[in-house]
Amino acid sequence: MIRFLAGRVAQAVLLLIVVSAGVFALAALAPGDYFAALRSDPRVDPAAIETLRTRYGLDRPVEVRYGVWLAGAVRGDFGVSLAYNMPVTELLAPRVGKSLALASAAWALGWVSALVLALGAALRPGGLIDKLTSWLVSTLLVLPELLLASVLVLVAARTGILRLGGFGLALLTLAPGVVPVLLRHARAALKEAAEATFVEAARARGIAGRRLWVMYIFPAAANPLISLFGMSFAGVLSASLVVEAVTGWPGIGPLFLDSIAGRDFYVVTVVTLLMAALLAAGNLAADAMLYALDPRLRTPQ
Amino acid sequence: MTIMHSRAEAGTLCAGIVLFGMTSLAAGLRTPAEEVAKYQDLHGRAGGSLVVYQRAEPKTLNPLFGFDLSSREVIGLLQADLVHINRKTLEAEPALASGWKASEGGRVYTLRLRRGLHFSDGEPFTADDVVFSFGLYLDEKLNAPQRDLLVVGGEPIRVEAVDAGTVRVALSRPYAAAERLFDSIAIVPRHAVEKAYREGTADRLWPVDAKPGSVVGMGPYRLKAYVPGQSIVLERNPFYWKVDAAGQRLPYLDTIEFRFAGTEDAQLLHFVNGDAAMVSGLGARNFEYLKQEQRTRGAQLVDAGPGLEYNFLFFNLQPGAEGGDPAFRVRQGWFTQDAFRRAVSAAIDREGIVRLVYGGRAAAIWGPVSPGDRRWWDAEIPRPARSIERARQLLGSAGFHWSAEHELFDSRGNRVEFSIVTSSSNAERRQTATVIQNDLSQLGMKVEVVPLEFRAMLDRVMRAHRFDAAIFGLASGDADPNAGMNVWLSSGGMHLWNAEQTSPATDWEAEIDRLMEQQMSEMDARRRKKLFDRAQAVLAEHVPLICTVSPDILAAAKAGLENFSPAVIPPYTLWNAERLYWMTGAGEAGVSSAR
Amino acid sequence: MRARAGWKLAAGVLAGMYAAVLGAGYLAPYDATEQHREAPLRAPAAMQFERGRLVVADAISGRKVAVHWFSGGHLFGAEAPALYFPLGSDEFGRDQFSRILYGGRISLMAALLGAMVSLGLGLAAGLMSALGPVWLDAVLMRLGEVCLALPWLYLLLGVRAFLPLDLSPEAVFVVFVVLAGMLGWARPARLFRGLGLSLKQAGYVEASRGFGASRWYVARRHMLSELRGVVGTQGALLVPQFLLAEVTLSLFGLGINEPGVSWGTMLDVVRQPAMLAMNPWLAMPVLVLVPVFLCFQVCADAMAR
Repeated sequence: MIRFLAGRVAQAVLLLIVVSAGVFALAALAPGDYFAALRSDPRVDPAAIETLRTRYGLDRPVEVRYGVWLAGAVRGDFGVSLAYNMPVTELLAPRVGKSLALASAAWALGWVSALVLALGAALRPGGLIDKLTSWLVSTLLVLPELLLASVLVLVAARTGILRLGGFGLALLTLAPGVVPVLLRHARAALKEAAEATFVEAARARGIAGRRLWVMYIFPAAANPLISLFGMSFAGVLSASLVVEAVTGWPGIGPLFLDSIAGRDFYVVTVVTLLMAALLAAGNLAADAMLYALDPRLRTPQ
Repeated sequence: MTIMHSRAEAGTLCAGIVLFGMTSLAAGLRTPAEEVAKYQDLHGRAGGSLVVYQRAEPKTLNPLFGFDLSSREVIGLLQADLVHINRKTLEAEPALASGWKASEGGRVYTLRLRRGLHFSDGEPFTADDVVFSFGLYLDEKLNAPQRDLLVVGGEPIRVEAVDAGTVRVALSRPYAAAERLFDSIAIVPRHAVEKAYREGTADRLWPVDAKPGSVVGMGPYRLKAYVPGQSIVLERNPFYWKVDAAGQRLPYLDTIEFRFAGTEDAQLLHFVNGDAAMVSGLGARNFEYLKQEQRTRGAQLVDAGPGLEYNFLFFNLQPGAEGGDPAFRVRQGWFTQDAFRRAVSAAIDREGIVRLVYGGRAAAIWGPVSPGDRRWWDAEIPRPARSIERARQLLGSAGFHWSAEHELFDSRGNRVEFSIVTSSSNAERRQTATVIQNDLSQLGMKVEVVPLEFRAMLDRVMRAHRFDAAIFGLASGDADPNAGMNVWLSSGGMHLWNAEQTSPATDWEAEIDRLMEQQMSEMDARRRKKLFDRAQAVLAEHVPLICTVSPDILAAAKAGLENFSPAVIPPYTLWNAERLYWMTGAGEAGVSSAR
Repeated sequence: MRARAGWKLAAGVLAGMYAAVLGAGYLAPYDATEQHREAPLRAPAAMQFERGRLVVADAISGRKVAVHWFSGGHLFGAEAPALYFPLGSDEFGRDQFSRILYGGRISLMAALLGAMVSLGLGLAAGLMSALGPVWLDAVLMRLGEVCLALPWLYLLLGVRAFLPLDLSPEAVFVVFVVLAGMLGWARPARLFRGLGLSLKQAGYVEASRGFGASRWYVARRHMLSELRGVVGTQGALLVPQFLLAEVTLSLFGLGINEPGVSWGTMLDVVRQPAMLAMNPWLAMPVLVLVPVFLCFQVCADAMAR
């Protein structure tokens, strides 16, 4: 177990390094840099912009810039935001908490409702809960998220029940995107397991009721669900970045989108790393759970 | 609902200097005499607060490096300049300098500073601070973007203190209206900035999360609090140097709170919702919506008329662009012909753009000077109505011809097709491109419109020169021809169609160069206007910029906010923040009657 | 039995939809790019029955004019110079109905294409991960994490910069959809791997391995059939996602450009509350999108059974 975990942690560190290199490479590929915006001001001479680029090292080759950044990052210096002229970590620190709060709330809400409803549906196929969840999934899935978001924002503006830029509005906008995806997968996994051949076989042997569920169906359904569990948080977080920007929740979302558009790439790099780290952590947790639950996984093929 | 067209605002800054005896100040300082500026006809009511939603979050409070609109809006309230351009009259007015005088044929300007003033931390303001500030802006190592504004005729201006209350500015060549250069150049306190400057960290000075007391300036407000991603709160500067008719020290409003909306649409909703007391930079559709919306009944909706922004289509005339690609050379062969550009200009339905894209809230233009720039707009520039007929004649006489399917071919049999790039983030410009594309298809031209992300587009057009044609909008920062020299001069970096030429590529560009150089040094205002009119006429004749429209400046404020008077240059609404006040108690704390 | 009928209905609706957008040239009264600048932002108008024939109000004068059928190469329309916009017009006076038909061409094709690319790659990677050697599993899954984490918008912006400007809007768009599809493999791959792992352990797979069946035979014969449900579920999720991804792409100038038209670009209006409040019919494409999504789901569900 420890060897397994240590190996995976090493992989995660490698992942972060690859991701950071990837961001630098991609950023170098995207045309224009932070100072390009100055070019639309008729009073600023292009020569002055070139000097600014030199000053911030934007004219250096990307591998040199990456080397400098990596050397700094190892010591805890993740670079300076070009727009805000302050260290990225200092810029992000107050906002990360806001984003995590929103994403965790939506994630928890999504999982609890998905599991409860999916179980209800699977216990009595064709029953009220089954129909209800199927209807809920279909409705929420076919509603374009963007439309839903703008309708909610409009309602918030009109009625004043939800405050624009408030937590309630952001959560209410994020949840409908998260719940049906989880619900649908949970339903499918439980259904799949309940109808699997070995469950049929168990049924044929007279195993039924709680024993059938606990011993056969849950373990079979657990596998895809645990995989989903691990990667879903990072998914929710990245969805939340967009929702934050639409609803005005002051997390890293608006800043991240601004930074991408503004080519403030140290900010982009660090936010991306943060997401990658969460993703790796989620997957690691999921794999550890699978490893712990399923003894067969421990024997190498 | 009240719709006002640029109503006159109360309070014209009194030219005379009023000596205002101050016995004690909030900080307990003793000053013998404070030379404040007095508004003789301003009678307001102190107190209350104002909540404004900005589109984007300000990035910094550092006047040297804040160049995005949001940062500039906040910095504008924290800092003050020597001479200020009145956003309404567009004339230069005394600010920290109570007066100025040009001598030696416009080579030397002497500015007299107001005496006995204090920074927002109570420290005295002197000529020393002025010299220090210009030293910062002009420092080549620091390289502030404003440095360029202070380089006249290739040489930086020289600023020296004559005595504690007088500074002298020397220019390398005569320069008309040089006092306008000082607008928005914040005079920073030497005592608060010098340490960082010496340590080489002046660019990191005053980030948005700076400690409130550490950000010091001469503006009407000072920093009170900052919540990351949410708001910046400013409080009145008790040392501000302007007073109203009754001698009441300005500003009137106790606090101004900036919050961040993210988009124009969110700004609009916050205003409709009553969270925001004012909103500016509105698009025509959103303005129309406010007029129809029940809940903004009674609000002040102001169409200040066309702003200084001019939108235009231009072709890539840069020699050797696109790496000398032969297909591009064929296209550039058309672009360089006056007749081709004139035909395109004649085919563009400017009135259609005004009506369909801007809902009528824009002015059609045939040159880069907007009618909003009342001092420099030239009524004599021809403004021919749209004529497909004339466009066809022009093309026909230049050897172009049409196939049976009405497709346009040049004299060598090449189909006329090209692409127009524009910024994807500007909806109006994208829609303008849609109109133009349709107009040109009526001439048999095949045009692809390619919206590119803003920075990608700027990089492509201005650095790589890899494009056929582009739709752009520029807003000169000042209503003065000198603010646009980079665009007009063939050697200028913003001479968009063919930038940074070593010598003028065409005769008419040479003529424009000559006229612009002349007007720059011409000290007589009338003669200067004549020279600039002539330059505008030459440009209109050869249409390197096919100008389309100047959008109106649209803004709104809650009822009861007095002196709300949007201007055509930024900051559109907060330029007279120190004089804004709530008429009754209703507007205080940002609670409106509209709700 | 009911589910079966529902499936047939949904498939029928989808087939009809595809046929309609392909026949847009005949069904639509106007070309998608035809501007009528004298009649912008007109509200939808129904045909009326009057004196034994169908009439409509001219969008310019409001005068009643007869509807022409089967003339001028179009199914119906008002005789020029009169204009008839059944679903209203946009800010340039372009017919919304025609634009929805023409726009469907690119939207329906692109979404399917993107989803298929994503799903295919995800399935392949997921199964290889589950069945292949341990090192391949680790490499693929870490690669997937990199893919999920990186800000691909940069890549897309970069690719746009390298594409020639005179490429047709449709071609550019297809490039982006395929790219987006290729970048979207990681999420489905992870699920397929999880499922593959658990199925691998199931008795009957072991048994067939015991009989000497090769890994790939196992994958083909047993797993693919078991995986169908998840493929269907994922497909139903991905198609709408790709339909909507275009709205986001166009935000960054990567969507379909003028004069091209798609449902995504038409729906850009939902981001503008004022425009939507004043001209609600501009959101009409939603009324087409929602049934399409629904039909895709019903079909996917049926496939999963």
